[in-house]
Amino acid sequence: MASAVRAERSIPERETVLFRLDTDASESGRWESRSVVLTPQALEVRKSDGETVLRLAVRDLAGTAVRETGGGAWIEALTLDGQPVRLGFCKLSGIRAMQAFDAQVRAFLDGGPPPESRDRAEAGSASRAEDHERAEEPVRLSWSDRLRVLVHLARFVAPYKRQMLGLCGILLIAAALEAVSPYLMKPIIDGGVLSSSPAAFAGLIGLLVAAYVLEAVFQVWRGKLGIRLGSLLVGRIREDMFGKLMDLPIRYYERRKTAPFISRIQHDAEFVQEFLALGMTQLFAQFILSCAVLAMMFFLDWRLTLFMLVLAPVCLAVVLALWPKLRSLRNRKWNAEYDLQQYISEALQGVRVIKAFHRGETEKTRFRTLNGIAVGRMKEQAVWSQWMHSGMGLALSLGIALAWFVGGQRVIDGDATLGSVVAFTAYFSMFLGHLESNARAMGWTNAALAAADRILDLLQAEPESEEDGVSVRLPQARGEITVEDVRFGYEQGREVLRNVSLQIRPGEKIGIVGRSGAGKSTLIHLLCRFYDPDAGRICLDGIDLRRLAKEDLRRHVGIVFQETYLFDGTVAENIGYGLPDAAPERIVQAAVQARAHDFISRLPYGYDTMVGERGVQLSGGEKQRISIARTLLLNPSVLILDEATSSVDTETESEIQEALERLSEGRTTVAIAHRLSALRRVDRIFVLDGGTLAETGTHEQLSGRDGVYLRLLRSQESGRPAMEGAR
Amino acid sequence: MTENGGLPWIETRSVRFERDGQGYLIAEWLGRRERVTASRLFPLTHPDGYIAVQDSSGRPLGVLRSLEGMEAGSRTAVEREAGFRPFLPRIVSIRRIRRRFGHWHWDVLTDAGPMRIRTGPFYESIAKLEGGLRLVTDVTDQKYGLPAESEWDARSRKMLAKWL
Ligand SMILES: Nc1ncnc2c1ncn2[C@@H]1O[C@H](COP(=O)(O)OP(=O)(O)O)[C@@H](O)[C@H]1O
Ligand SMILES: [Mg+2]
Repeated sequence: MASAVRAERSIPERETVLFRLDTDASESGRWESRSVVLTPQALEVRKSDGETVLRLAVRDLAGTAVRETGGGAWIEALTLDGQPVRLGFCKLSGIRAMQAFDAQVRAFLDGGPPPESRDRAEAGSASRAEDHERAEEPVRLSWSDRLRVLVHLARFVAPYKRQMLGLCGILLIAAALEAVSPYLMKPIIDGGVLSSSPAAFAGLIGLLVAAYVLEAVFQVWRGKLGIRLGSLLVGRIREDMFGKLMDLPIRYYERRKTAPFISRIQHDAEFVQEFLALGMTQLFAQFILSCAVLAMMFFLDWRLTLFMLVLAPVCLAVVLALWPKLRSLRNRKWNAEYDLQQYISEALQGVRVIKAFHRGETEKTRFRTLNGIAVGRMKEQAVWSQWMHSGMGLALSLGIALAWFVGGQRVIDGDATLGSVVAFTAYFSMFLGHLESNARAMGWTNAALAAADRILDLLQAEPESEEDGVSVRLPQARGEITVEDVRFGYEQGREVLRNVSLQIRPGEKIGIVGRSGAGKSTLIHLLCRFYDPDAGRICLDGIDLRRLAKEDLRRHVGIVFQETYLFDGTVAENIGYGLPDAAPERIVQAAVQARAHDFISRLPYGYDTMVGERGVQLSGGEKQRISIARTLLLNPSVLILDEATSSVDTETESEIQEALERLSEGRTTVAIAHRLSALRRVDRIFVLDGGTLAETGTHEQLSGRDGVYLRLLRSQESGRPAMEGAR
Repeated sequence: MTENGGLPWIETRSVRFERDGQGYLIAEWLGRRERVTASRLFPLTHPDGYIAVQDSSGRPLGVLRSLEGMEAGSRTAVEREAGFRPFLPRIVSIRRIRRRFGHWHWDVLTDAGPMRIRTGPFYESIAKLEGGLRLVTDVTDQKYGLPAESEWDARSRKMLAKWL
């Protein structure tokens, strides 16, 4: 600040820009690049050529505000007479910068230092901006990236170095044998057949047979080694991937579908394994062999070799021209199949809804359409590869015919022996064959690298936000929770919680109420650290959750979710999920506490009854009580209930409520309840409204005040008899 | 605004819109005149209709089913305001899509001008809706509408045909 004031004297006033924000559209919604700048005297909107179109003196300014619209936001200035003035619009990518600017301007107007959160916000905007910039610039990394993927893949292979080396050795020997056998043609024909010497002939044939047999032996050996290495690898890659999936934060799954993961784990891993175990070594051996074959061809007849090689660029050009077409056909096929797979998995998950709404026929039609597309693309691709294949075969045969034609001419002219031409054409067809399989191997390599890229993309995704630096252990928790100035949004540009601060004393019973969508569950998610706040902090017993050792957090904070999820397994397994070695007594005790014991006892196999997809179907309330028992078993210091009783009938609710009340003794309890009547006996109630904390107090205090709580209470009291009458 | 039988529809002819000097939308109806905001309820499937109007404190006033028949100045004002709420550019044509190792770089023309988009793999970034409309999400979470296949021009078709 001081330097800014000093600078003012030397340079013209309007050059002293304190903060600046680039906007994408003007206040009237016209798309043009402008900037909003703050100088010590005024807030100005400037065009890209520097012309000022709007100037608001600092002394008339009350602050600025960000108004999110979904997909972007407006920035506004607020004047002291209470009038908002629109300054400009930013797309999503600019929203962080806008928030930072907003905070900077407000801090400047307050006369204080820029706010704490500024660093975070700015760091965010910087990284976002960078992200954005990279999005703008096409990145040309392909080859180095390919190399990077290969290096990463090599890490998977590293533990099996000896096997890999063995495999390479075998491949080299096999290649050498393969390269030698055609050469035997020359002495067989020139020295054996043509000079009619039976002994030499028989010996040479014997040698040829021996070479073939050895070749076959090495091939089997190679296959065996490759398969063994491959299965070791695929197991490891899958393990790493699944491990990673479990460690990823919930955010990672938010906007991803689950089907691709299954495919990634199953197919991509297999693909990459095949490539690692066989493809890579094969590519290497084939390269060596091609070189050897070429050398032999030069050795036999260098002029003929040179002549034939002139044709190579032509072949290359044809392949390069057709390559993109084939690749795009493969992509199209893959994407169509993916859609189909996704559709099937979704239809199966939603089969009840489909039936309930009598949409079976419609869904069949949709499936038919998708399937039609997939089949069409499959056909398209198959037809093309068929043509390619035959064309390639024809080209190869023509090449060999040409070699015979030119070579035969040379024999007739007496420039070469028949034996050397036979050997040469044998090598030549071998060379062409390798070219073809090399081209195929290249395609294979590319596809494998793409699969590897998808795998690495997963393996390199950031794991669940680790504890910052050293994690703090907390063997015993008192259950004190502080939430300080927390801001949070699931996605960019849509804040769900704003500046929420609250304090919960050890052992206190807290109720959280608010309209649906007010952010109650979100606050709970933050308390359990499924997400980290965008600004501010949350502490348990004074320790920031980000620093608290994760296992201690999970042990001390127990949660019962709004939506229950039971795994396929027995009732006991489900209750004991968080404590696998729990004695049956503990499990029964937890079930009794959760009022679940009675109905479990009536199940056909008691606690060992299978639930879930392959077992008995439980009602919503029963599932809920099992999940409550699951949480209770952990005996957490902080118990969180997110509308835990919303899916049960009123009678069961009061039963569970009663149980929960006893359970909450000696621990901090935070309960979100839909029915406010369930919260009469809590110590304090927090009322959330539109992502902010609107009111705090006891039921008596709040119901005596004209606020959000009273309105909620009235709407329930008036709505309830009607609803119950309808039942 | 008008309430007919509990439905929130606003009679198109009963209301006029204009933009004030500060860039805000002003609505005038039944002798009242105040600052309002307008947002699209179906920004992807029906981007031109179903515009919800709220007063400046966010209280819903009603929904304009369509802007047909509205006087041109009014219409432009409300369209422009609603176009930002939400901001969901519609891809008009695709000049180029290139794959650069794990990311797809799109060079597109949208109804909000030319843009460069970077997305992840297609299967994670493009969702297909009933009727062939697609929703594209880029790496910054910005979303874009992509019309049904029948509406693509030749060049876009060619670019997309490589993948879709
Ligand atoms: N996983 C999510 N991704 C994006 N938005 C979400 C997610 N979960 C909740 N929201 C949004 O956050 C807001 C608050 O939701 P929530 O905390 O679940 O409300 P409630 O008070 O009903 O529990 C809602 O507008 C909801 O749409
Ligand atoms: Mg909720």
